[in-house]
Amino acid sequence: MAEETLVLFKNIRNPKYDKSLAAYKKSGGFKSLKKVFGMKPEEVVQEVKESGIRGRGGAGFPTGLKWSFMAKGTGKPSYLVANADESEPGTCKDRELMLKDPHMFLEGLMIGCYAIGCHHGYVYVRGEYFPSIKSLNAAVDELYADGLLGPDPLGSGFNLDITIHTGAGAYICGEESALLDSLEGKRGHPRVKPPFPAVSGFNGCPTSVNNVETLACMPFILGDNGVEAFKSFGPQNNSGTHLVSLSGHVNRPGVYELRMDVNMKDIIYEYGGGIRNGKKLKGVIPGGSSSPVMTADEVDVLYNFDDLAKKGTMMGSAAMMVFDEDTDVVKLLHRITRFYAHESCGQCTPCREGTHWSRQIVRDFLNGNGSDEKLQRLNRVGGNMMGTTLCALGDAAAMPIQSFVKKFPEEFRKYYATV
Amino acid sequence: MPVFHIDGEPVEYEPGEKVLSAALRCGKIIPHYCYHPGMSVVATCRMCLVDVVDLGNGRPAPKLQTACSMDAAEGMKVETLNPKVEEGRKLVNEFLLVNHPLDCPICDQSGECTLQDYAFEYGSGKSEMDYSKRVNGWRDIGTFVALERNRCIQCSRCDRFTREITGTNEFGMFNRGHELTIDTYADRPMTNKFQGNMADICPVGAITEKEFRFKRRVWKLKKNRSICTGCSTGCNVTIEHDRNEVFRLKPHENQNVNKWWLCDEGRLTYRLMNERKTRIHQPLGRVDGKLEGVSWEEAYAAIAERVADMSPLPEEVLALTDTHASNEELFLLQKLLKDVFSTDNTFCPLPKWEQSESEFFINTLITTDKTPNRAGALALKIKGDAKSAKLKKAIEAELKVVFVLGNPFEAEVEVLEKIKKAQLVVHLGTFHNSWSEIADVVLPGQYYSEKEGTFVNKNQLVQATEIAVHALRRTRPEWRILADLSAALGQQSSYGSSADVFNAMTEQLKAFSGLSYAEICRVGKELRQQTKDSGMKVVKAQT
Amino acid sequence: MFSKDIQTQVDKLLSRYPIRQNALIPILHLAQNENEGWLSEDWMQHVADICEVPLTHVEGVVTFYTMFRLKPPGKYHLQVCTCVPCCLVGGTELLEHTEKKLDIHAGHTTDDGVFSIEEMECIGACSFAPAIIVNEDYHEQVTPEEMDKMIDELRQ
Repeated sequence: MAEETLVLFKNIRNPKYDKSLAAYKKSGGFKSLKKVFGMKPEEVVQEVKESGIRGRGGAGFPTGLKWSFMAKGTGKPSYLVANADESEPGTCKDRELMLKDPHMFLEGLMIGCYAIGCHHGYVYVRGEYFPSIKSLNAAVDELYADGLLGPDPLGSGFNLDITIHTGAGAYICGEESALLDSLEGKRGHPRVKPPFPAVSGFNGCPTSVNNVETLACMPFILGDNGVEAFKSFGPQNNSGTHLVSLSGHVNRPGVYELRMDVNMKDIIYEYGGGIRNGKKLKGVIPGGSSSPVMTADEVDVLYNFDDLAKKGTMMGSAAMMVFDEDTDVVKLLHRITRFYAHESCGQCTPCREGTHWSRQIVRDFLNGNGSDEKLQRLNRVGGNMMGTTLCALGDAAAMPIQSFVKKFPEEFRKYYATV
Repeated sequence: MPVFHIDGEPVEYEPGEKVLSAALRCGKIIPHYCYHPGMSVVATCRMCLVDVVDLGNGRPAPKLQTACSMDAAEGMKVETLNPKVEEGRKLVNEFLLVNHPLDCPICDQSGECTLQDYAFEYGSGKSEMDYSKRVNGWRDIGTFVALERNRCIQCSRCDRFTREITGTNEFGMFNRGHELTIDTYADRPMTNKFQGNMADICPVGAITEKEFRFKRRVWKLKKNRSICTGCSTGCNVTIEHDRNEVFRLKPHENQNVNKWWLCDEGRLTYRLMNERKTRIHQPLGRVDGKLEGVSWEEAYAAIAERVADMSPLPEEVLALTDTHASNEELFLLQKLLKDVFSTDNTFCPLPKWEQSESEFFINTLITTDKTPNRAGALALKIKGDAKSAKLKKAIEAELKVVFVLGNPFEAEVEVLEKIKKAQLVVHLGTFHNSWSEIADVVLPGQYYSEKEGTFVNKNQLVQATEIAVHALRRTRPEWRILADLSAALGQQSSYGSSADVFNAMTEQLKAFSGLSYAEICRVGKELRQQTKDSGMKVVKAQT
Repeated sequence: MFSKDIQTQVDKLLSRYPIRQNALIPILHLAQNENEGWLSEDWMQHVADICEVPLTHVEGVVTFYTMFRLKPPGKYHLQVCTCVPCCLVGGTELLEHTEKKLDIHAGHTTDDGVFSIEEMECIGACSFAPAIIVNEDYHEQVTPEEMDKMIDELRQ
């Protein structure tokens, strides 16, 4: 089997690792934090900028730049909130980190807190992740017992607290402004922007929301020669390793840590062991259900942010869902539209009505009432949600609809063509 | 003031103002549902999408932006009439009509419904939706309003209203996505006193006033501006009527008095405008102990004759009035007593009253003083005090002539008994009451919706009513009755209209000096000289 | 209304946030656990008082999130994922199989109150699909046979 490039999974792939604080320290943990406490916060942000790391939650926004946007001199406390809401269909990588090596992520969170001057970091974990919540709480207890959290971590004088906060079942709370509303004890409604969270976030204070995996990269980046090493793992502007959640009709589904210059073909056939039951590939949803679908002849491309963007799709949360020749594509699209209809918060008109209506149209095809006209209508309704909504869920619902109609029109026609 | 451009035209804006707010102020129409100037911006209806071709820095916005949430900026160029914006409005309209029922034929909002207007103006005119609509049915949500859940377009104005304006949190948003409902929970009815406003702000016929439902099509209603006379706040209203029947009162925006709001109690004052049974329909004179219909000339002649017979001394004459009377009425009543009888014994009740104080402005609208012109009476120096001590002293005398305007001191039986003993009691009023029972002559006046008059509200603002409906045939406005009565008693005057009386007041009284009647009718103006009201107490509002 | 131990947790939670309202959702979870897996009107009012928010606010929050239940679940709440990746490898069939075995549809509880089924959107175990959660425990790569076995065992 092809090899992983182990940075984040360095400890997890060690069968003897017991994820305790002692074990983490033994493998080199918290050396980076100690180094960071000796730097100026602006210097930390600068290093992160130079590493080129982009957000691993789906949007791929440069993290260093995000941290540099934090409003200063407001007189209000700054907050760092780790986004552990992981609800994008296909994505199951953050849970691996939280379950099997929570300290690497927590050290990254602490580094981030220092970089933006936050003394109380929050981890927003989706409510269904019971095992991860338990794991994180135990890890945080260990840190407090050790003095790594509290009034004086590592003698730095930088008092630091972490609270693990649970969600309660809403995909939309993965959107950063909805997450902040949920963290404040409200319904998870995305906010009007501006103002952006960096200016007014948690309880109106400057806040940065970052994905778990992004933060877990920080110990490596801030380690010895970390920036250069991190950049070496991928093409320009696509630095680092990343965790790919591979699922669907492959022989070896799983979470793999890969460089950013691995070809998608290799991910499917080398790491994933090829299509199961000797079937042929029909298509791939490359980056979580919100990304435009790719046909089998489009997968000869490097799996990173920019190369996929050039192909008209996106890497998103690196959740690759592979489906074979026997897959009913229309049924698959129906399940996707059902997901967005269920998860829409309902605030804004296009998403509230469009997600439900597009699902009804797809179901009509499944019930045998399809037509060319309805296919056009489906494409139009999907397209009307693009760029007109309050938050990106509208776009996320629109892209699968439009891409499925564009790439697999004959699959729809199978449902109504009599000739 | 800085300037940006909408469709090539310059628009002035205040720093920090949103594009939509500036546009509306300049008369530019940008369709919208969820935006309301009195509440927070949510930008969820997406109807106000505009094309920002230049953000002010030379670059265009990447996609259509909602005008309600976009800060205006120097050099910004906004387009609202190009094909992209047309598409945007069309698609939002289409999405809203996906679940909105075709209720126009039975919906009260028809004719004043923005969804209807925008569908006509910006919609595609044809539906491509052929599945079942979401159904949720009628819900009783409060004492004053009802909710047709099916019609709701989830603009959330009502939710923001009970949270930000009344602070009662009776409404909320429940469930999510397609099932999102905005109403009270578990059939808990609202009890706040401002529910009618929720029907006003609802852009469609989802929230409707129970009083008005199914009574009249709104395009048949004529509208006249006026003042609510339910209390001393003097909220600006429009009286909406058809064929002389008043159907409802709606608030008229006045940022200095009531902002955009009107309380439910005030709305219900419309009922009295239609009351006919208890109205005094014609002049009445007491013949052999019973009141009989007489003509105006007969009434005036009878009064003049009796006054001439009695030749009363000043202390044998007095007048009682309530503070429902307009400034003109109070002025002329006072003048009558001064010029004809040389006395200034005009009395009105001035009980103590309470003004609420609250972090929510709307709670300050309702006062315990349920009369519209207390401040006017004080400005005109009508006599009175909290315990009516002065009056009680004055009625100890042997009274010969008493004029009663309206229904003052209705609960004070001893006052009534003393006045009853006077030799001549003249009652000017609109409704039959205990004074008309004991009066010798009853002269029928007109109700607020039928006459012009100025009133001074609790904040010393002089405002005017407008004639909305036709008065009862044989009634006359009180200012005219008093002027004619004065003339019959020897004091001629040359007032041709209510405005003439007001102008005389501006010349003769310092408090009213410099005020213009035309301006008062347009917007209220403060009295030049203000009288402190020692009967007012400020209390904290109870939510 | 909270038992002594849980009240301690509630107090600790309240101290971790700058505003009491911020602790609403974690406290609602505690309340739901205290009340056998669902939230009654009384509990919602109690939490509203603790967090100093109006009752309508709590009701709005409770009806927004899928994990808060307004009626009691079964002793074993079977949460079966049928979202995209699970759907590709038999999640829908697993749900249908479970519904048949227990003779109830998703969203309902068996008459004896032992089992309830809920159809889930992505629960984040995609590479280990089909996945389910039983109360608070994840079970991954579940076959219909394993589901049968688990149900039978739990019934004892």
